[in-house]
Amino acid sequence: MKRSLSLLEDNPLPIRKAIRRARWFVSSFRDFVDAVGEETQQDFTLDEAKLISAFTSWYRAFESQKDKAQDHRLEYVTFAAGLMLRELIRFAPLSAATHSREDPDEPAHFWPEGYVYLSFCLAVRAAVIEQDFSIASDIAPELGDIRTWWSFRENTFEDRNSAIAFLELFAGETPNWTTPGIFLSDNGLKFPPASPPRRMKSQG
Amino acid sequence: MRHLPTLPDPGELALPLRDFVRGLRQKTAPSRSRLKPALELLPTPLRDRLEQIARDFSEGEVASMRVRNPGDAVIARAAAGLKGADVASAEMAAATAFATAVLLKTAGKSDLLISETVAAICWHEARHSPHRATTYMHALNERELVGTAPGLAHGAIHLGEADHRRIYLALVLWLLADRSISGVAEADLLNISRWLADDVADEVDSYRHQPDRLERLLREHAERI
Repeated sequence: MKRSLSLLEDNPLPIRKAIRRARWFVSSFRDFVDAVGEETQQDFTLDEAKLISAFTSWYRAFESQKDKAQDHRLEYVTFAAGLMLRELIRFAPLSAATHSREDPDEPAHFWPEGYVYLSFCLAVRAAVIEQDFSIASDIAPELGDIRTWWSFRENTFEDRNSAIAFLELFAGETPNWTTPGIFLSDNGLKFPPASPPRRMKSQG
Repeated sequence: MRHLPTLPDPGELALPLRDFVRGLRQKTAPSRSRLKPALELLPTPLRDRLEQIARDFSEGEVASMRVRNPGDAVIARAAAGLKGADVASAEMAAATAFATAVLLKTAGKSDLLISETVAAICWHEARHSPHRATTYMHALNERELVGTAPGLAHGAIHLGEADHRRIYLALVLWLLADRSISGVAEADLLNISRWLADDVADEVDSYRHQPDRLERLLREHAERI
């Protein structure tokens, strides 16, 4: 999916700055949706006005906690990607058309819109980390686990902030399940120790 | 045989004449929505024929009333003007009229008249202000850049007060947007400005009596485009 971020990667601005401009956010998200749609054989309808609302809300949330990130820039990249995921889920700019040959055990078919939002945020995070810190990102095994996706969808519908913790989980970091909407950087403790999410449902 | 004179292309005329011709065309172009009640009283064959005539006339007139894209160089100078550079009133008016026409078209209100003369007057007011963007936006709203030609009923092509404010807000955000990096079409920038204006209209409105704060706010929002 990385190739679909070419608008950001070929940009004269660093990716971390380009993504904070609506023009690049919208155009790269649009390209990304096309790429995922082609890959997963699904049709999506994109409401660009809702996408701008998600962008605006994310931008405000990003700016409001940026000062806390001065000595923890790497961690803040993941947190910012989580904020982006939260706002995309909240404003829901995508609608997927249903197909009869969907496989409900595939995350991309189980929750197509959520799959795009999460993939986009993880891709942006990976691109920023690679460009700014020369670190290649791995994908956590939970990304393909349908039981985690059940919890992801259910928890984020009940509490939007949990989207931030789920992004941390899918990115292979230790999630902050307690106060996911607050970037914790005091005393050198970036994230509290892992504990199960409050409303994590167990699947039989 | 003598041919009747035809109306010139408004884009080729000086500012007040352009407005005059556009107004005349708006006034003479019969809107299908205004004819509809009368047409419904007629027998079908006659009604169909008249509707066709009205459609042909209307489409031709609207096309000739279309405001021209003044080109990237003029838009760039107008954008720089809002941030403090010198720009001719005619260029600011041309960029303003173009963007407003696009925004009105998106809102389904292409029939409304845009006055480049009003835009030039508003810019004349704003260019000496320490808060150019704010003053220009307020002036466009107060002097009614967009409207109907005198003598026309508002009716179907009426634009509400909030819609007026949002169009001028989108216009100003678009002009303030960074153009130092190319690669994005002006139409896309305008679309983003329109969505952004919808999103921040209430916040901007709440600062309408604080020009210092509002000017900063407009620039901050435009930085996001």
